[in-house]
Amino acid sequence: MSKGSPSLPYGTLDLLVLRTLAGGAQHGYGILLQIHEASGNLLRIEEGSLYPALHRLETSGLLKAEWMTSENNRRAKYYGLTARGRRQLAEEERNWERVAEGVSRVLRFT
Amino acid sequence: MPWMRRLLNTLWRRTLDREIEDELQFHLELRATDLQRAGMSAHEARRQARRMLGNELSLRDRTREAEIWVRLETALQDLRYAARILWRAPLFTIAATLTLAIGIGVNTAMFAVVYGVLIRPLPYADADRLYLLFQTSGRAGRTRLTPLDFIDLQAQVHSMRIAAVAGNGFTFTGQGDPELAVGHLVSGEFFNLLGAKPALGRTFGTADEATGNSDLIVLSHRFWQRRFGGDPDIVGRRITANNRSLTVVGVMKPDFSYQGTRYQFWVPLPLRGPNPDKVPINRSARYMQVLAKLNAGVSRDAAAAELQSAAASLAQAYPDSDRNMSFILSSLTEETVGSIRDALKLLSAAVLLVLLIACSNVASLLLARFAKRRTEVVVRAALGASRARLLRQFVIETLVLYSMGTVAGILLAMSLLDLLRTMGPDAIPRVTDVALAMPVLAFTCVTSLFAALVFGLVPALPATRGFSGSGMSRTATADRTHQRVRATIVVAQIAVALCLLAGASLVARSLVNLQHVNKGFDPEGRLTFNVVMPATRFPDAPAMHAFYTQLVDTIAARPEFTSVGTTTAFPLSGQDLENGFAVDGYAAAAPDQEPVAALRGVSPGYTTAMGIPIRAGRALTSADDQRGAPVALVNETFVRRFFGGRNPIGGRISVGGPDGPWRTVVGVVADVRHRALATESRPEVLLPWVQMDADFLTAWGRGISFVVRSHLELTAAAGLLRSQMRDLDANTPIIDLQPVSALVDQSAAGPRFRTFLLSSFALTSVCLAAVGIFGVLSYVVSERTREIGIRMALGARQSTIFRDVFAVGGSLVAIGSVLGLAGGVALTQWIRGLLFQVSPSDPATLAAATVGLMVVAMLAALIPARRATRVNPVMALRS
Repeated sequence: MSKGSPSLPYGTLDLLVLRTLAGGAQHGYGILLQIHEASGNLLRIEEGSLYPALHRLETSGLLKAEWMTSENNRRAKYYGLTARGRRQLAEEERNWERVAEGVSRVLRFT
Repeated sequence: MPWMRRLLNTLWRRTLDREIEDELQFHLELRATDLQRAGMSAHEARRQARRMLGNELSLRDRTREAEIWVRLETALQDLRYAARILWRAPLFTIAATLTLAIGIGVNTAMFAVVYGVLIRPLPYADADRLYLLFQTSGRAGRTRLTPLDFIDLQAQVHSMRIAAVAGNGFTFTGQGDPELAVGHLVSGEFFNLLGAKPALGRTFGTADEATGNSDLIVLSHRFWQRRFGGDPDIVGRRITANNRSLTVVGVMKPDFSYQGTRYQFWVPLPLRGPNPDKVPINRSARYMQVLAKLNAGVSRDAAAAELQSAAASLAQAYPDSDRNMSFILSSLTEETVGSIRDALKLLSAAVLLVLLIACSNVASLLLARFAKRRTEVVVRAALGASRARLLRQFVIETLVLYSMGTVAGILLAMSLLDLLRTMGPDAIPRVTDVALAMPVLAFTCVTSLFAALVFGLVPALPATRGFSGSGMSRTATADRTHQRVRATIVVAQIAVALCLLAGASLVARSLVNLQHVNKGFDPEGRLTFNVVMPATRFPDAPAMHAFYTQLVDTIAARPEFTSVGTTTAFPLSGQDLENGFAVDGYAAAAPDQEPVAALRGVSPGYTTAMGIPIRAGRALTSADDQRGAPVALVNETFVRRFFGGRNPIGGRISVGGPDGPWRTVVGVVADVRHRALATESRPEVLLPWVQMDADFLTAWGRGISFVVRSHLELTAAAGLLRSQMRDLDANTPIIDLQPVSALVDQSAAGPRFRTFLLSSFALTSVCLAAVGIFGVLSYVVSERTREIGIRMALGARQSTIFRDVFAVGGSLVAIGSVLGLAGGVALTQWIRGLLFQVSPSDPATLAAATVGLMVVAMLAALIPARRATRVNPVMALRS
């Protein structure tokens, strides 16, 4: 575990994965990198949590997976959002904003 | 569908494993490439990539778990493990499976019977609205209706529709041998009320009744197949029966029957039109069975109320015949299966007890086995298995055993049902409806599952208890718990087996009593057969008389036959007819004490041929004919009820009413068990056949039952009778030729059947209980081999050792017997209704059952006790 990255609040990983995949289908390693970059190198997702999460989201129908040929000509498993996944993303984004705003208000107030 | 996917992934884990493997490999490669780009060596980059992945094994497991049913998977693991364990102990597995198969098999078969006979509605439309309608004049009991009362009633009631049914035999000629078959004469509404649709052609109904055309016939499927070869063009054909030409209008479906498959055809009842068979249409002959279907939404009470007012108006209109009359509704279902309900309940309770014993035997066996696997339990617990996990392992092993037992049990049930069907027809109504239907199988599975869970926990709980801290060594406490549980099981088994055995003994005792009951006649060395004289060949009473006198004389002339007699209603044959009487000097104190008695027309030789003792006066003679004075015989019950203390001989009675003609009572005959062996006799009047009313004879005297006494062996006598009849009249079939004793046997078919079943169940449970004792004591001996060895080395005698082990068994048996006896006395009160001339707490029977059980149990204890005495001290101490 990288000492510099803050730990993710519980349940945030799903949101990040869904958000990342909203930009297009991606394999596991790609998702990892994208989150790292998009967070300005602040957030680092562990492989140990990413893959179980991907499979869980896939089984519950939020993601669909497909084996495709990657840029380096290898077979790779690409994950993309399903319609349900999109709806779930929208909802979780709203939730997150409200929670984040609430939390920061409390932090400022006290 | 996520659950589907999870299920598939659980069952075919290889595909999923490979995919995860590929995915992670790809991840590692990309990571390594990136790290190499950042300046690492290829080797170091790969190592670093792996390090960053963390614990790969755990990652794979957690990833996989997202896609499977974890519970199912561990269950499958347990299942595989259980199968391996059972496979390694084939003897135990076979013994346990067979034990369970017996328990589950008898339950499945029994429930199939209960379901087919009691639970499934009768196979008619709206069967819950179908009733049989009887009339009663109080104490006389219920009787059927007279045709004219039926016609009037039909016009008066609006809350229900009713149909009249009367059984009748028709002689079919014209194609093949003449055959006498039984069918129903039915009024127009009959098929409509039952909602019965034909397979071919049509049925007949009220429209046909209106046209007055009664020369129609509907055939049962079986009769059509058998006599008419399944002729597809049968509809519209004319066939000859009773010398009448009948048009076949339809054939019923194979599954249609009314009151048993012996009724093979349906012909319109000539209530209003021409009456070629001279069926009596009057207000005195009570022979109409009335089928009633309440209109939708009409309650039974409302229908009964309407019937009461109808009865009142009939009583007013026809005081001679109908005064004091009322009507009774009885549900058709109850009439059909009511007689067997109590017996089936008893048998169901019995098989449940058998199952209980079987399951507890298996639980006891498992307990011993689990105890031996203590080391395994401790190791697994030490490696982190929770108690729940261990429990589940044991319960799953039990479940596997029970599944095998259930499959074997269902196979057993199939053969039991085959056996049942061959024994059944006389003993169980609707036996043809009994099958292993889906609900039956569902019941079996649920019962087994429930039993498996309950009886799986019994051994599993102590097996997984109390290992913490005690390490690998076996704890004495745990062993004592095992012993206590097993001892309790054995005591319970003995108690339950004794209850069953006590019940079975009482029922068996009843059967013996029933077979030795004073029947009022002697069935031995006698044959009976029936002859029917159709109206079309024998138009009037003299013609009938001439024919049947000729028959009687022909038989009487042969020296092989010592006596011959005839009656219109043979005992135990189901034939009966009740009639109102007037008795000179007797006035009914209450409306329900009007004299009603069963009426029979008999030949002079009847009482002798049948072996019915004359209690007073004389028997009938040939002088009691048309020219002689009108006479009658009455039975003892008639005398008790209607003559009070007076001397009946010389007293006067009259069939029908006080207007005469009066008859003189010349003799008193013994009470005959006419309806059933267990049924008390009712008042009876025997008249000389030839002296009976001509109208009555043309209606009721056509079917004559013969009884012939012979000193020949009965099959030889039967052959002789047949050939004589053929010589005399080839066109008149003789039917139901059989020994009188066969009729008696048949009448005891129901009690014999339940005695047979209950005894088998009781014996099975006794054997299982014996196996239980044997198992427990064997275990005790094997556990105490060391101790016994030490004692023997110190000089204990073999007899002491034997006594000690035997005493363990003996005390269990004694406690179990006491409990069982107490339970038996309490439980057998419930079967009072099934017992005959034996008290539910009959001391002799209960004592015999107890002694029998104890002997068997002691024998079972003998073997392990003897084995204990053969323990070799040297070997025992070394091991």
